[in-house]
Amino acid sequence: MEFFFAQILLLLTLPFLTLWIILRVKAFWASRRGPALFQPFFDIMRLLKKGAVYSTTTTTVFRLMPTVQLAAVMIAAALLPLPGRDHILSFDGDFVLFAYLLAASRFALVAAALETGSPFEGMGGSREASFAIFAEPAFFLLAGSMVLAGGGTQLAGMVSAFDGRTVLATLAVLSLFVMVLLEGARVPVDDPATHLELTMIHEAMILDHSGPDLAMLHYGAALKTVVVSALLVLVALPEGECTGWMRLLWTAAGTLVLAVLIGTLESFMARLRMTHVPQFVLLMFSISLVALVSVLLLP
Amino acid sequence: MMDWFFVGMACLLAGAFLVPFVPAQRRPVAFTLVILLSAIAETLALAPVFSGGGTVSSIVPFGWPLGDAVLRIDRLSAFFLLVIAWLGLPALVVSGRFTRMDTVDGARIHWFFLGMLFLAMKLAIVLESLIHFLVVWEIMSLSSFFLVLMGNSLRRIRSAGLHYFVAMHISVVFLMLGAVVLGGGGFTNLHGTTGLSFLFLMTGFAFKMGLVPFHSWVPEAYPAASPHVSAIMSALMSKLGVYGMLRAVMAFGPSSEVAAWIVVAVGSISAVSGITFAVIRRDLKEILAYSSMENLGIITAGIGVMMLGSAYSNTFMLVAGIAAVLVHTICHSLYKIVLFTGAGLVEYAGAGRDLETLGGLARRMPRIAGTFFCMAWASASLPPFGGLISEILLVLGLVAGLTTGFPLVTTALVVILALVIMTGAVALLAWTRIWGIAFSGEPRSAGSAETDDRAVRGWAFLWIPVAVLLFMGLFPAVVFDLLLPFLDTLSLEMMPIDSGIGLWPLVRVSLPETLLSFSVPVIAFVAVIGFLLMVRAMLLRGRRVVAAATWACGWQKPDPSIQYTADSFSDPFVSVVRPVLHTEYEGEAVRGFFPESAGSNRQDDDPIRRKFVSRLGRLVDGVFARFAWIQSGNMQQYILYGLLWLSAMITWILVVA
Repeated sequence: MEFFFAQILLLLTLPFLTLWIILRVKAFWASRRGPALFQPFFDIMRLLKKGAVYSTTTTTVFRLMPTVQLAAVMIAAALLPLPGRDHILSFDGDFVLFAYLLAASRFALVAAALETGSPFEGMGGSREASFAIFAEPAFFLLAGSMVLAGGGTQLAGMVSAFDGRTVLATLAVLSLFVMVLLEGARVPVDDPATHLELTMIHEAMILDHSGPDLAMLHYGAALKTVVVSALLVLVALPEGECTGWMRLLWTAAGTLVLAVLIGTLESFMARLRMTHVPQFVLLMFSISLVALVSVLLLP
Repeated sequence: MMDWFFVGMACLLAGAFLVPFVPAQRRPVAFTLVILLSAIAETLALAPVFSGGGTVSSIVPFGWPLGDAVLRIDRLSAFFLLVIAWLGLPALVVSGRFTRMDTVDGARIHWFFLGMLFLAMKLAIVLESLIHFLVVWEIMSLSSFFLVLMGNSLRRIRSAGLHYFVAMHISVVFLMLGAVVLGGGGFTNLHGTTGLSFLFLMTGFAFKMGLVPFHSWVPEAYPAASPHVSAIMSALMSKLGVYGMLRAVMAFGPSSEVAAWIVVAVGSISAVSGITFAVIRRDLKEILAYSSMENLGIITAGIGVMMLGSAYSNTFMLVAGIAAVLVHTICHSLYKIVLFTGAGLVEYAGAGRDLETLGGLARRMPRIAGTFFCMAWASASLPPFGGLISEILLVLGLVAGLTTGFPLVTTALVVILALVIMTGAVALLAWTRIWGIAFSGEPRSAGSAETDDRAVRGWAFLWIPVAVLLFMGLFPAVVFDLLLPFLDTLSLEMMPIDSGIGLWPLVRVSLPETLLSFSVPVIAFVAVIGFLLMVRAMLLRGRRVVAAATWACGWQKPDPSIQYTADSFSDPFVSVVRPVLHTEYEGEAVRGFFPESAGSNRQDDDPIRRKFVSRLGRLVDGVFARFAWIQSGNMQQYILYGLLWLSAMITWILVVA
């Protein structure tokens, strides 16, 4: 039980750290100083202290969806088996619920975006929903290959299915890295720093939100990046060597290292042309497929 | 206790003949009461099915030429009887809205055919002997055909009705062929019969469900009928196909590998293509029709998983497949009852059905919009609603098969898994599109701007299906317990003989335990939403909450026409799949320095319906055109026929005599 609370606490604080590291790394490569450690936290707090502006076009759905989005990501975070097989929220088929919770957060975002009637938000919502179409089957292909490799049908076992099989683990990590970039709306799928509405995906969908709602959306998006990153790290971590508290700490450390990687990638790479994003997402599909075929061919 | 069943039937029959003579305004209420009474009677009839030996039967002597009709209710029939008796009620409660305004529909005869449709659906489920089943099936097809035809008297709807008529009769032909190969008999004594009759029967039922490639009637007939009829056809009548398939699979005993793979492939391909076509179309009811095709595809995939489990002696796969079929059958009925009714209420409020003319309905029709949103969310199989449970059961079933050990089997299962998951992802696009374009934003036409739902009576009943779905999503283990009597029978029937009863007692315990653990995070999900809403309300209390226009990139006067359209919303996905679609494009490129005109018009459509079926239709036309000379309209030629006939007769008499 104490593991569970530690995991929740850890995952709920990591978004601030991750955001800070990404910003600092980007600042480093651009020879700037970058924000202070608590800046992302202050940003969220500032939004929480504000009132709100609602478009006259919107309805209750618009007010409800930010909470639904955040709640879905939070439950997905709770499903991650950070402490290993002792995780209390571990059961057969939990990976399906994990994927569908991420989908629920996506539905909530898109529905809220369309509420406003803004062309930019429609654009963002359309892209968000469309690109996921190729990512979701890719995630399940990967999950399928983990089941095949003898990981069982619980996330706790699946993440260590490729332990000791370097090639497979690498493929899985690569595939999940694309998922991190897609779900976290990072370069090269989306550019969180862009100020041109036509090129945005995630940022375009939250143009009309304000106050606590915007805080929840920003925090939810960061938490989603952390959740998928943590899943990637769990796949990379060998199960036998670290368990319990150590595993929890290693996951946190790995997530932060991944943040450095994302920041570096963002500093050296431009966002892809919008028409090329589906091809990039299909990359995840093909990597997962290769992983699956390798599991089949190399028993 | 079969008596109660006959009471229900008598009630329906009396209703079909008497409701037309009730004053016009009272007919919807009277008909709803009839259906309710018969539902209660039939539920009473089912008591011994659950307590006693599992079946009740009765013989109705018909004599020559059909022979005695055997009525037999076992647990499979009981399940479908319950679905059909109860789940249609919410649509009937609001049907007054659809029949009062439309003179054709308000006609007495409409209620007669609706009554006959219910009667035929219920009898088809209960009849054991194939020949009587076929007769009732035909009554069902005909009464629904008349209902489609009466949706309106427009020419387009006539052609839709005709399309439906032809499709249903091709279905009947297949069923008859199946019966002929079997040589009559009943559903329960088909054991050891040929694969050919199985193929015929399955094809016939696939027509009824609208699976690929037999779905061309679905987007024609459902939109043409009036809303409550479409709801009943999609939610209830298509389930007869599911029932038939399950019956056929059970009757033929443990299934062969090949048959199982065909079923699972047809199911998953129907699912993914149905939802893709839903994304490219603009007519609200047509989209719902294609979404029905998707859901029935998922159900068929479940039947396929169940057959695979039987073929590979994998108990878990078998049970997960059956459970997925049963749960999804209920879920889909609940979705479509509300969605078709909702779409109908929108249409009858004067907004039309074209997505590009809708918009802003959520503020104008809040009573309808609430249920529609919940059902859109649930149809994308998202938590906390019941659709997630069938999806999870299906995925668990597919995943359980992965470890069979044969590489080919594994590969095929993974492909099916990817198709099923992709269906879910495209469904998210489809449902955000329908909700977002039709109900959110600003109205795109004067018609949708002037809608309101204050006149709608009985809208509160549409929340009942939503509540049921929520319960199913929150407490899947309870649902599993309720389904146990059906699962018990079905899994024992389907189990391969050599493996005995297999691991069923084990799965019977382990599967509900798994489902029980799903409850925890899903309930937590709802609780966290509630908590966050409370936090949000506390934060905003006393603060300035302002209403303003949507921010449109500095444009101070936003106009409805700047909104994203339905077609543009789906374009990133559709542009990827366009090569396999049927696309009509006409455009005029921009030419010269001072272009005078330019334009572009593209319409994507279902390739199977537009290319394959219409070509087949032309082919049939072409063949029959070759015989057209027989009926030339030329009087001399007809006299010649008469002369030839006379001389032939005279010759015959002379030769014989």
